[in-house]
Amino acid sequence: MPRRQRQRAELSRLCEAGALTRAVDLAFEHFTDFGPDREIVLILAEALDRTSVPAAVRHRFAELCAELP
Amino acid sequence: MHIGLLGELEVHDDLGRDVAIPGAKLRAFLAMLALQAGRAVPVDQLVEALWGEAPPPAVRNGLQGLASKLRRALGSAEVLTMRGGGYALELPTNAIDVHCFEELVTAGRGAAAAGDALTAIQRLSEAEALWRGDPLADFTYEDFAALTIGRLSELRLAALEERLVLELDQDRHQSVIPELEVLVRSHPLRERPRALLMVALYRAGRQAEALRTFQEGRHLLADELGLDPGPELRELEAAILAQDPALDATSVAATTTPSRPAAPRMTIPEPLTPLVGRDHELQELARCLAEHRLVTLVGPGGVGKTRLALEAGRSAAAALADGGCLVELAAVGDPAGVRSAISTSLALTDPNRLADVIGDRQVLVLLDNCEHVIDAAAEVAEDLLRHCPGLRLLATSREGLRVGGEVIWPVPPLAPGDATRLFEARAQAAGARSEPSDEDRLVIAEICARLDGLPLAIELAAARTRAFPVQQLAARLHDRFRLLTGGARTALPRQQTLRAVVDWSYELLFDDEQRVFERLAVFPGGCDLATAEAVCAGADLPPEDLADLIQALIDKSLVLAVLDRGQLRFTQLQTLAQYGREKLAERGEAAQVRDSMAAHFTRLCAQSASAYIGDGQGEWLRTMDQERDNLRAALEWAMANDDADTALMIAGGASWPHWLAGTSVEGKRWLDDAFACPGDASPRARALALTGRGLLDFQTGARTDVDADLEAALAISEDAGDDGQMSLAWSFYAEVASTRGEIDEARRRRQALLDLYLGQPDSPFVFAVRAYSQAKLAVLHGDLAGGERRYREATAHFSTIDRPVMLSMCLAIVADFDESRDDLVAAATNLEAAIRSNESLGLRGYKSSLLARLGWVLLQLGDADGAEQRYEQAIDIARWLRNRPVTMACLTGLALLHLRSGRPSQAVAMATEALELHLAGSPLRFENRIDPSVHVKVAAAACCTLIAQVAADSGEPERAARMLGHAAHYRNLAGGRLLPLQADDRARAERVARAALGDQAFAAAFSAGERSDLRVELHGASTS
Repeated sequence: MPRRQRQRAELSRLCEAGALTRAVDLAFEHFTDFGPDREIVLILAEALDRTSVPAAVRHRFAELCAELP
Repeated sequence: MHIGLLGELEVHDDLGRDVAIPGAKLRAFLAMLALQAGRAVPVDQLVEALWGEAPPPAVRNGLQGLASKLRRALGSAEVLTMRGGGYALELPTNAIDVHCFEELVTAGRGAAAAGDALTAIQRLSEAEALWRGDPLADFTYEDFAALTIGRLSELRLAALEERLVLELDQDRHQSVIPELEVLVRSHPLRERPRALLMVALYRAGRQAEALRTFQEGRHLLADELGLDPGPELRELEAAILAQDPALDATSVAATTTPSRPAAPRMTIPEPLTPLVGRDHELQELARCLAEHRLVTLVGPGGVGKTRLALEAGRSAAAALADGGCLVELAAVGDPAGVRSAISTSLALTDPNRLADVIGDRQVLVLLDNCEHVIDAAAEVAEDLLRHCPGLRLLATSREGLRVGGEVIWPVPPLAPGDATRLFEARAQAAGARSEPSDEDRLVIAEICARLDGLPLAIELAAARTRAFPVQQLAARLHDRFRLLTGGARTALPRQQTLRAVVDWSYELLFDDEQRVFERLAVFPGGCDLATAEAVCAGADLPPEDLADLIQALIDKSLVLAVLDRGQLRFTQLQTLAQYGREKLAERGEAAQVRDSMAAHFTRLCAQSASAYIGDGQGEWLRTMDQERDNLRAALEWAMANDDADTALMIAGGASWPHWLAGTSVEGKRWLDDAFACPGDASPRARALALTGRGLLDFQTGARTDVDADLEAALAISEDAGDDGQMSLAWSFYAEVASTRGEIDEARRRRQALLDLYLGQPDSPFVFAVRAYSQAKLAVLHGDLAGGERRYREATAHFSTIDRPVMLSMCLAIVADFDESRDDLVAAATNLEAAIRSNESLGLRGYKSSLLARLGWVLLQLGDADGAEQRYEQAIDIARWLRNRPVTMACLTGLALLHLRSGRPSQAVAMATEALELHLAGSPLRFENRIDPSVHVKVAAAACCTLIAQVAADSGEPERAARMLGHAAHYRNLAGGRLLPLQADDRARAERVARAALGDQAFAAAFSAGERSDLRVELHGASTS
């Protein structure tokens, strides 16, 4: 599996496991290497909808969304 | 306040009244502080010095109690302060006699250098006058004082000698004689005072006493140490005998300063990025390194010890005659490897003779990352500092070495301004999105403060600015630290700060990046991409992704990319590598990755035989050199797992590269370890290791009877039908017999090797190696013309393939044929080509041999400057490597050059030293010449002729005749060849001697020389 897809898969796994703080941070890193990715934002958004997370994480997710063109 | 340490401890107040310091501990406490006046001495250092290694539990209270007592005794609270984790005596350096002494000596030397001899004498006399007895006399048996006592005593003696030299230059020879006589009596084995006394006596018209002084010294040296006087003293004696006018006219410094062989000047590598800040620390360290011989930079990982040490070490080494070198101990897994690592960094051949070879050289050695081999590093440091007066050690470690005289220098974090500058520089390098605004700068300052000014933590954070603007970075770090401190705003200890940042940085890696980061940590010597792909890839990590993943780690400052001989290699800072290894172990993959690494290097070493006999040798040798630390790590891993097969394959495969690199002793240690490893080994690994042991035992002189190992290797290889391994073993098997002079056996073995090659399919390499073997065989059969033709053929073939060593060897032998036909221009051209070919590998020992030979050819061509330049380069390396045959060749050439330049006494001294080296025995192992022993004899004949010529010109006709007899003896052994360069000189020497002695007496003396032992002639020369 190419690296980009592997990272995407890893982000999905983190979301499924509820590790959203790390997932959001890694998404920033992923965007740096591969550019903004709407699909990843969607995966994270769905996970955030079904999980209770600190406000800071939601705030960072908003910053991540702002990276999208 | 005045504190005296140049004798028993004495303390006076400002009015000159004695101040009593009661109790031995309190006196030692004061002495330690006074030696470093104005600087804080760390508490740990004080505790260990005062209470030893097992201090009582409440020792810090005890130290505080001592501090209170000292303040009371000195009558001032301000004079002793607590700062930076240590106590400092707040006195100016001129309040302490040790520092006054050193300043006066420096001033005296400065005045002497500026030509103001009278001021210099004045300052040096004032310096001497400060001494009241033995330095630190109350503390002779205290560890903290040992090195300082040695250093001060040596400096006192040196200053005294320098003052006496200046006095002699002022024509005060009469008045200094009594002082020099006392000095010689108290230091009878020291040559410099004896030389000064000889000059003073000679100038006072007491020539016989001057010569007696020499003889007394000579007997003493022989009786006590079994040594002869050094060449300078012998030369001075010769000059006195000859009543050389230079003795009256020349500055004494020029006639008596011991000249020692220059070593190749070494340098500490320049870091890739500029140092940010640290100006104050560099100034402090420069002062500290000027005053102390062992300085250890201590501090937690990531505080910047190595970076600061590199900068300070480079500056300090630049002022030393022999420069400095870096010894990276991070890659040394075994404490026994500390000596080898130092030896390799100094380009020495034998780690067991480190102190001997360093001798009195002025060199700085930077021992980096000592903590994991601290005991071994301390032991070696102590040994070297005791035996090598010109050596300075700068160490980095998380704790002190605990060696007497060590100055422990805690590295502080970066100052706030420097910290923000470092952040901005690294963020820029990491591709930060934009220039920081004023507001960003405030946040950066806050981040740096939160990171305690730790450079590594700052670099890791700054590397993330590509993904996170600084405000986000600050927020994330803030969260991280709040978690660690339970929400309190208290600061973490520095060690935990760094750990937190490394954790944070690691967690910001994707899983595949984390795996690569961890796996790269098993390479102590770093690795290139191909090795990373071979070792770090697996089912979970495709090899083709490694390049991108490593690049991602470089972008995040978790891996460094360095260029080594044009190749990109990847390494990690010690702190990060250690962290990576911990994570690898937590994941449960450490054994698997290390197995993979050992297997990779076993595959590399399995190519050893084919690399020796086949094409692609240059590249393989460069790889072996670059991977040396990794090979050693793989060997240790194999030994720890009783994997004899891997151990023998690695040690055996690395054996001949060790030989060519001049590290045969180290290679032998690897083999000994591997043979001691339990477990089964394949026949192939055993054959390779047996061949390597045979080669290295022969090469190091450990054994000359190495046939059993080589024969066993041959038998195994023959059974396995392994032609490559057989060729390797046969090559050394044949060469061993040749070198031992067993011609018939050498012919048989060489023929067997040739038969092997004749049976192999044609290829450029096989053509080359067949011609080479036929050439060797022809020479063994006495067919020199056939040998020459084949050597030229082999040279042409080797020049078409990657075989730089073989090409260089063939060119060197072809040059021998050119020289024997007096085609000196062709010989020089071929030797230059041989040097160029060897240059691609940098084999130093072989290079010195080629340079010396080129010097000889240029000398005969009349190019004195060119010859001198080659000889100077060659002798530097040869002396450093203790290569006697090459040193002898250089001394011979340089002696001839001195004579041609009108310096007969230097010429005779060098020729005598050359002959002494020859007489001491010069093993000629695997020399690439038609007949190496002939050239040694030609050189010996040249030296004897030179001495004869000078003797004839100095009115010693009988000695001249005897030396001509010795020269004739060597010339006959060398086939009767008279060096054309010396033909006229020899004839003139004979004419002069014959005229003075008459034909009969000349013939008798000549004949006596021919038959007598040259040792007797040389050793009796001084008395004749």
